[in-house]
Amino acid sequence: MSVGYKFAGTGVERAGAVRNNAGRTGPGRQRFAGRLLVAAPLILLPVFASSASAQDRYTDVMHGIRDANYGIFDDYNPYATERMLNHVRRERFDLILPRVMRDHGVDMWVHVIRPWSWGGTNPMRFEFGTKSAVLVFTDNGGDRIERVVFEGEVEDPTVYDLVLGENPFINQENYEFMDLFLEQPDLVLESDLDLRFAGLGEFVAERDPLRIAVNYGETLSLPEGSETFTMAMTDGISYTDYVQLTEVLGELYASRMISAESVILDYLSRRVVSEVVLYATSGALRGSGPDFAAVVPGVTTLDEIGASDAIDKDGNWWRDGNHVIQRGDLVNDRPYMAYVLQNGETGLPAHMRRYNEENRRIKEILREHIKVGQTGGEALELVARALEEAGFIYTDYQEHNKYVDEPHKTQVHLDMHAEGKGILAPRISPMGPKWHWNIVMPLFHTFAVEYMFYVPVPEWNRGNNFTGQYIYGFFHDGGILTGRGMEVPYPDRSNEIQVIQ
Amino acid sequence: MTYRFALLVPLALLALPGTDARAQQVMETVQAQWEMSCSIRRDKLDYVLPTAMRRNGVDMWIVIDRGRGTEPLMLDFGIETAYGQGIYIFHDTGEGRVERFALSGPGSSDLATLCNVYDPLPPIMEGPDGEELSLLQSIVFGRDPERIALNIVPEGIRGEGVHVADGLSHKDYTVLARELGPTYEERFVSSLDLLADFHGEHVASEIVEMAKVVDITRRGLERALSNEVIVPGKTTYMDVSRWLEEHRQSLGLRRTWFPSFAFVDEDYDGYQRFFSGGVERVIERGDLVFIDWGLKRNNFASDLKRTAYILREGETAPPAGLLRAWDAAMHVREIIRGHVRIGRTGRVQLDELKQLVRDAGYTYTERERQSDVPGIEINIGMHGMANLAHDVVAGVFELYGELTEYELRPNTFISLEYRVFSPSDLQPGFKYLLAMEENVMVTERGVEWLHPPQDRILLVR
Repeated sequence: MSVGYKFAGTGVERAGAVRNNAGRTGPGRQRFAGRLLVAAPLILLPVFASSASAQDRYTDVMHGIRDANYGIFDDYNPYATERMLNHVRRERFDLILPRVMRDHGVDMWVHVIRPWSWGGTNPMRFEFGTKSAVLVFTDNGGDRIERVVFEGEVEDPTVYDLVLGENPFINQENYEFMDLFLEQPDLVLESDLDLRFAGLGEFVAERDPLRIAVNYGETLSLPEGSETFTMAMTDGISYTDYVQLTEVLGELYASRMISAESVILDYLSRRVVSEVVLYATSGALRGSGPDFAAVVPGVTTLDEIGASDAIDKDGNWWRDGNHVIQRGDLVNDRPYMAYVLQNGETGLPAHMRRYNEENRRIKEILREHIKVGQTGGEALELVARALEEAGFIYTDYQEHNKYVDEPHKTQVHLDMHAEGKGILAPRISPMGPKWHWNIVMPLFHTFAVEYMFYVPVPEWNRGNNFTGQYIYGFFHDGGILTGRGMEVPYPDRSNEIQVIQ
Repeated sequence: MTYRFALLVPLALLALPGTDARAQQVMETVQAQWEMSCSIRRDKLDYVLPTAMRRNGVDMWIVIDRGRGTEPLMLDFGIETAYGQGIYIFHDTGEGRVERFALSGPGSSDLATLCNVYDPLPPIMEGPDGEELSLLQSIVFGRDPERIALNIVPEGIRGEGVHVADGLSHKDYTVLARELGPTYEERFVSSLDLLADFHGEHVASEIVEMAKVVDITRRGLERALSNEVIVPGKTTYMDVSRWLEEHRQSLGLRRTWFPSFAFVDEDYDGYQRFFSGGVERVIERGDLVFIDWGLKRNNFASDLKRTAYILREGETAPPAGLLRAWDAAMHVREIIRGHVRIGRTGRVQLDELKQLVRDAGYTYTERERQSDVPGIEINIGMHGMANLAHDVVAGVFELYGELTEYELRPNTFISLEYRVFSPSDLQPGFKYLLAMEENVMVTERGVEWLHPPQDRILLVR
């Protein structure tokens, strides 16, 4: 049975169990603003020494907002200390926020992070230092953007101009509001949900923005933009929140709402220098691969040096960890590869020398053609053309293609996606939705230098290893775009084939 | 790029020390957990959903999982994935069964369908002008439901756990309304009440899973509040929190929240706030300590409190006043156990409980702090629980009066939670606080234990 709860302007009813609505909608009801006009509770302030890693901390309700780790996927980064991350947030507010809002013609940016998703998946939780808040950024002119936590708690209140605090009715653990009921017996709450927005209409009207960006999706397939599970790019606020926000803003300002999807993407795609430092230090921590120097041909197994597989001199593929490494084997733990010289050999066979030479040439082409200000798609087009001109086959397929017209040529595939903030765009790749390719690569763009290539080896034609005969190589390491172009900010994990004597 | 399936933790491979070996035995393998979750989904859709839909006048329920943990019900119907499982449609045929379709999109996981929960997809239909309809349109138009529940929350609703009905994004609503057209958009209703029934009634395999996570939580708490972890005068409350977090991580489980503490010490002012972490205060002899903590496992959540007393030098038992408080707590527990039943609203039962408490000689207080009245004061606040620690199901709890209007459904899980304020013989005007909480199931017989309850105060020597 329906009891007549309505969404304003939508006509949506409650499905309706037996329920009495009396007392909630009558005259004289109050809306309790419940606003704490104080800074976020001190208990939320950092309690740990700033020299320690922020990511292994179990700090109460703020846990989970420091997952911006400036590495690949969810890498652990001990340099991402609480102090450093707070510094990054401030730098981004000072240096990036004004440019992003002005580039997109946005006067106000309202970002809502639901209080219900404890631990949260909102991609901005590190950016804003919270996992539950209503945040308002206003361009009032001048050098900076006004930053207000309209409702909610934040990790570092000092970075905001105003922190109005958490509504006491929001936190499910906060039973203190039982006392508030007793102290204000006439108090009737309308909803837990819309309390977050109480007073927001007046706040916005005072600033009178012409364009208000709100975090809901409109045109982009945002879930496909995420690299990690923990920093989700979804399509923003719930329908319930949208309706409540519309109500509280009123007709005039609600009509000025636009999707913030491009603003968010742009904000996430830009970097400040301190982020470059974090990104580089994270990358430098990565492993260095198997201990090829320890290989004793005829004795050592793949497992003993941590290698994944080997291809013998006839092209047979050995993937059992107990395989004893023999002379003539190409030992792999990609991107690391090493060849065990056969008796009488003094260096790599020709097809492996070709592999190394072409690998270097691919990197050179990438360095020569990828520049700040290009979109991912533009960069891909330039690189693909240069590869073809250099004698490679550029392929949109991530796997080896045995049906090409020129099988003697090396095939190259690219997936150079953004790194460090959980989003994949801007992306130099045929992979992903189109909008990944259309975003401009900014200064200090951090990204994966990721490519796969397949070098033909006709002499392996009797092997059992592949559907085609080739050496498969890949590279996946961190890159940064500077004014000079693509740079690698730490010693890369070489994918050249090494020699085992 | 990689995808993370956060729940697929190889629990059975974890080596657990000491008494946790027994906990390990009930953790099972990933495969066993998955099979159990499939069994729950099948039974839930067969036995609970039809009644819940009819009771709330819902003909069709559409749930859209857009991925990365943003749909609160994702584990009810599948697993969490990077790109979401797509669209779930449940339709009451009126013939004793609910049709269930999973319209998986690109990037979704076959695991949703591997469960063998969902029906084969029906054929694509043609529209009135011969145009080919989408699969979504074919299902909806072909069945012409009068009321379509969506995961949106109506105005005027206040209560814990309502976010489980808040999973539909603005964009998805817009796309859905456009796809189905204004005729069907007018038929959209909130799924909130439907959910209260769907989450409020439990099948046998759910009882098994709930009991496991509750028992694991209980054992962790009881170890934390022992000399295994606490050295009086040295260990801090934060140390105990860290131990619990590490214990949780060793089990591969998620938390419902960070361990929260309350303590009664010489500075006690009659109002004991629970605080979460961040407090390095040393646990001293004479402290009365509570921990409120919960774990999540296989889509079930626990929420328990445990109480311990730190013996002073020379003491072998808690002070007499504290023991009297405990006796009152056990007495009140039996009053609650003997009275709460399924089939009646929380409102009715809470009002009756208040009177029963008064009849037993206590003062019932609406406040969660002691007052100046003489004698023992009692406050009861029993929230519903299941897939969340505070779920949007029937409660016996003044704080969220909305949820007390729901009727307690068969085999519902509830937090047996109450507070006792009992005079101390140590300081005039001082009352001991005992914050009690167990997780129980309510049947036609009353309250039944899912785990061994706390029958005595834990002692740290």
